Amino acid sequence: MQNTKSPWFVVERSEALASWLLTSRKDVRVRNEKKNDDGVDLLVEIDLGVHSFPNLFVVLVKGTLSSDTAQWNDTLSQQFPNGSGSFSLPACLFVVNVRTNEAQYSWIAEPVVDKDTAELHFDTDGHFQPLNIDAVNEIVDRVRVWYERLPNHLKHRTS
Amino acid sequence: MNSDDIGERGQWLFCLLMTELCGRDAPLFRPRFLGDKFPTFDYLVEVVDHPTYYFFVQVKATTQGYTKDPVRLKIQVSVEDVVRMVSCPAPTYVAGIDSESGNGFLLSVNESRGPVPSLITKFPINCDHLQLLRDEVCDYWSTRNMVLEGSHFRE
Repeated sequence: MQNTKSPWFVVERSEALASWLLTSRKDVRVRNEKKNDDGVDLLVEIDLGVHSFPNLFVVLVKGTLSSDTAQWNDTLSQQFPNGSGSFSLPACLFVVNVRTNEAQYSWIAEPVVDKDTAELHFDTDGHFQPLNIDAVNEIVDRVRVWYERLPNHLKHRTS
Repeated sequence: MNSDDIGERGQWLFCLLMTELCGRDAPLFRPRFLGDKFPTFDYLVEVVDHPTYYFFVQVKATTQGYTKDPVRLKIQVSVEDVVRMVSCPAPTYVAGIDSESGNGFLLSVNESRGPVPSLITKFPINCDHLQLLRDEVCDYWSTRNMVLEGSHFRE
């Protein structure tokens, strides 16, 4: 979701930092999807071993030279004027300040589970939290739990 | 994590370290990835504002850490790669990346030498050394006349 007017180093640094943070988990692989021009920057795979299909989620990356979170929320609402409901996978927005290397994240399609449900809650207001290795662990763990519950959810919906 | 994954993390870290703003409005360098099949080198790095000034880098990443005494990063560069780097008509460097800590280190490989069994940690990739590197590369190119004069194929 990088603005094409962003300087090259804002785009490249933000995606490099996002990729590096995500792969601090040894079970995570990152594919750069920018070439597809569909708004998705990174497709993230959570490796479950050679016999299992990986859990997937999407990360949109926004690089910035500003620490002003109000600007980030504006960017988010401009990106999704009609909501973010088009995602069928869990999705996050990472905002990276390339001057300080500090990053924040907000769910866009948030995985929410209950006993028999696994839903995505869509949020374009932006509830940003600090992005660090602990946050990456939490994101990955929530995505894994969502995929674990998804078969139950689908079974209940079809029965 | 396999060696490809470690290598990718090393490349991301290398780009981050080389493009640190260091209080400026723009980085000093722009790394250009050469592709997985390019021999010996991983990046052609341009000097920002002087795109005709550049150098080549081989990036080696490790999760193995350091030797103890002396403290050196546990990466290796083969003699074949060293020979190719020395024969290159542009400045060439090895960048060793500790992909656990996020630190990177530079080594010039422009003069004849043997293989690199481990990497000296005297030259961390930080703001001071980025400026020194820029000066070194600019000095190298600015003292050479790279214009091909009297070509057979001129109009």
